[in-house]
Amino acid sequence: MFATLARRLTVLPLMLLGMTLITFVITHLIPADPARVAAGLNASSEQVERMREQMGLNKPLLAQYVDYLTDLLRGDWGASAVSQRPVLPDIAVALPATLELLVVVTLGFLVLGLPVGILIGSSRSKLVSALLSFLSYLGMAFPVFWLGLMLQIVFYRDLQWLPAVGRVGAQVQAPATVTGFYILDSLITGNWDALGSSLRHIVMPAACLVLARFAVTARFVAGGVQEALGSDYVRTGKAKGLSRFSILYKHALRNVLIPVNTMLGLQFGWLLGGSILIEAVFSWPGIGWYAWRSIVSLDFLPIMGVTLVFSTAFILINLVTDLLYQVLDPRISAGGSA
Amino acid sequence: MGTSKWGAPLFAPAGRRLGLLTQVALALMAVVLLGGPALARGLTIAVNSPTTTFDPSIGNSVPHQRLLTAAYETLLAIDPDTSEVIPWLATEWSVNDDKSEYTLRLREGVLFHDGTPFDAEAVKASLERTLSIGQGESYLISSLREVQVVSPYEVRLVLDSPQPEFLYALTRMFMISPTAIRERPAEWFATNEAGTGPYRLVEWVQDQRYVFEQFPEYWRGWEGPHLDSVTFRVVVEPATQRLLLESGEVDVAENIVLDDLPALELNPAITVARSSAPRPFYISFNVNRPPLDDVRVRKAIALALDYDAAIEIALAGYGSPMRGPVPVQFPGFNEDIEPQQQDLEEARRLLAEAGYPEGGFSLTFLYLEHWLFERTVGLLLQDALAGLGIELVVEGQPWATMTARMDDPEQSPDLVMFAQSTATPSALSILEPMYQTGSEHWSHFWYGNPEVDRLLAEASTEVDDVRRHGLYAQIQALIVEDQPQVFVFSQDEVVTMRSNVRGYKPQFTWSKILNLYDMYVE
Repeated sequence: MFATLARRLTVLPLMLLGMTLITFVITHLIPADPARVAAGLNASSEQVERMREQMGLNKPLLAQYVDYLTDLLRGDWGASAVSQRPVLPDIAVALPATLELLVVVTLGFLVLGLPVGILIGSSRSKLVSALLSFLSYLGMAFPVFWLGLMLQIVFYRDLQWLPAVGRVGAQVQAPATVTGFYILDSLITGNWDALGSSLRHIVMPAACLVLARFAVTARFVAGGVQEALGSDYVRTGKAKGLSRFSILYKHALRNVLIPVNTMLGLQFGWLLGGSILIEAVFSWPGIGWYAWRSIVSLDFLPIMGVTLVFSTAFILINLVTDLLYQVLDPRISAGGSA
Repeated sequence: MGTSKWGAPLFAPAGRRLGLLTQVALALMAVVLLGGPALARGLTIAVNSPTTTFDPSIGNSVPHQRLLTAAYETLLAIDPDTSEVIPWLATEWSVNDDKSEYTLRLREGVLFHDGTPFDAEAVKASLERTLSIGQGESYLISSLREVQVVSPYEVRLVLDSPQPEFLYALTRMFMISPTAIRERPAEWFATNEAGTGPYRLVEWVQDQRYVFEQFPEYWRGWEGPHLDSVTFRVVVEPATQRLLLESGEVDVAENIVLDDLPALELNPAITVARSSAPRPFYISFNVNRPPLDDVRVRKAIALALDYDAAIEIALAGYGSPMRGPVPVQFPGFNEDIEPQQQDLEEARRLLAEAGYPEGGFSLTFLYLEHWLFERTVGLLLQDALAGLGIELVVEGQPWATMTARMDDPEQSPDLVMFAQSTATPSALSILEPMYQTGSEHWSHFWYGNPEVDRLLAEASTEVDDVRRHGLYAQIQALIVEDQPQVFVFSQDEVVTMRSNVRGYKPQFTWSKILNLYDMYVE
């Protein structure tokens, strides 16, 4: 396992280098002038020119790229041309916000997807499994932002059970930053108000994303369970007189978790970029929203920063997924997957 | 105890995990349902964009100015009722004959939030800082050559050349504590403030909320009803802003969608404050590209648009007609110019005269992508032009792409719709950037008329107000004749708030900004 880890981590920098080069080239091919955007609407051409000098845009592309890389290695990810704020600290605040949401969503996929999938896969009633499948796909059918707005109307406006926006209540002191995960930080610092508030605030945005996509998990689990139930070792177990519970949970499920592992990894990657809609509806200050704002204003340095982070995240997610395979099934050897 | 579906009894040893899980879940639920502390009194405002920098020399758009105007103040102000310049941190002023030197007498007894007294040195430091940084609205004082400290409460501003409307610029320059300028690095100003304004920043949670509290030593004093605190909360989604406003969780919502306003008007708990504002929208023609180089074709297109429908449909009725290029509220507005009306007969006649009786050409129309009401106008125009045999292709683009295309002769669209921002009620500030030949301003779109240029040059140095306004009138008349644009409409200022919020008065040169000091909650 450590061999895999080591091998993959050495490849990581090379892959990132490739990502930065591709992104750099693409963002510079787009016909728009970031110096003008930064200098402001009413800037004179001298001011725009001065901005261009300041941003280093007059140098040849290769020189700009090299400058960018050297700064990166020193920990200076540049600053947003639009907001003047440095990129790395902003990302360091926005990223945990999204990650916290996604961790809760992934847990939600398991909590909802596993039982529903098992029911669908193992139910002897065709009606029950069809109905459950339909209900789970219903969540996928609704646009996720519509779902968000509907939940706000029902749970915020009508029932008044849950708050509508933000990560933590407006009147509550946000927990001191340890990890950037509000729930963890509240626990660590013993800030019970913030804990309660953060939990209440994460329920609706997480619920939206879970409802929107748990069907995928359920489907995988159902398929795996069905296949497992028809397999030799299960029939052997039944013949041995093991209880249905024991067969399902101790044997079939373990094997189903392998494709589920793949799928959760892919979902997490999808969610990282796709959370923007939920972040907008619930004013969740995460990296999806940060990325969208930067893209719309063609803010090069934040775009590069976000791309770096997303690429690293994807690579790490794949790594974790691969390592988990080895945990789930010791037969998968270290050399199995590159 | 029953048994679970899987054959194992609940809470039995094999199911102890379940028991524990249930207990943990119950504990979590208890924590979750605990309410937070009670709401403090003050005003909570929902805004849809985060403020990226709080630096008064840099911030130049609504997300910045809504915070800047709470904490900082300017030398002069504009009276919202008369459009005239009134004293603020400067109490009197005199100007030399050729309007190249402005001498200001400053208000005494004003303190910055950090305790530094406001005086001539502060004015000098603030103006010099804004000029040297060279961003934001610094272009307004680009002609300032020197700030002379005549006495502790008197300052003389020496300009490079005569600027008859320089006073307007002083209504936008924020006064910053010289102590802060001297002692703090530039980055400090991005999230902190050192102004003289009525409210002091106490909490800045990036991209989420900004909290202000009363500044006790504010020079206007705190007699009478006032807000003890102001909180700006970032709520990105307009539909969510509406939910928060209706539930009372926020007191003011700045970005409610136009289509929601009629329903809110019917709600007695909510007040929709509407005022006509100088927020003009233009559709500019690429006057170099045939057939738009023929003024008759341009006029025909301008006559084709159903202006009333545009206001009713695109703005949900919250707008007023434009009368030429200059907003009606501005001094020097040419009263003789009438709003344009749709006249399809005349449009057909002009097209035929220009040689296009059946139309027969295609034009591209560009608008700012997420402003859907601009798209609605585009579609209305498309519909009208189709009746004249002209095809209009309606396209939305993000801002950066739009401005890049406007500059490129190859990629330039035929028509482009945009709003003009109006920092000061100076007609020149609209006319010069948009119409001067060769202007580098983004809003300039290929137009040039030597007669207009001559009048602009004369107006920019004409020190007599009456004569200058006369020149403005001539320029406006010429532009209306040349028709380089369709003057679509002027969008009303709309602020939605709870009905118990009082004292709001629209500040027409600060779009969507609240006059917080005068407001209170009943």
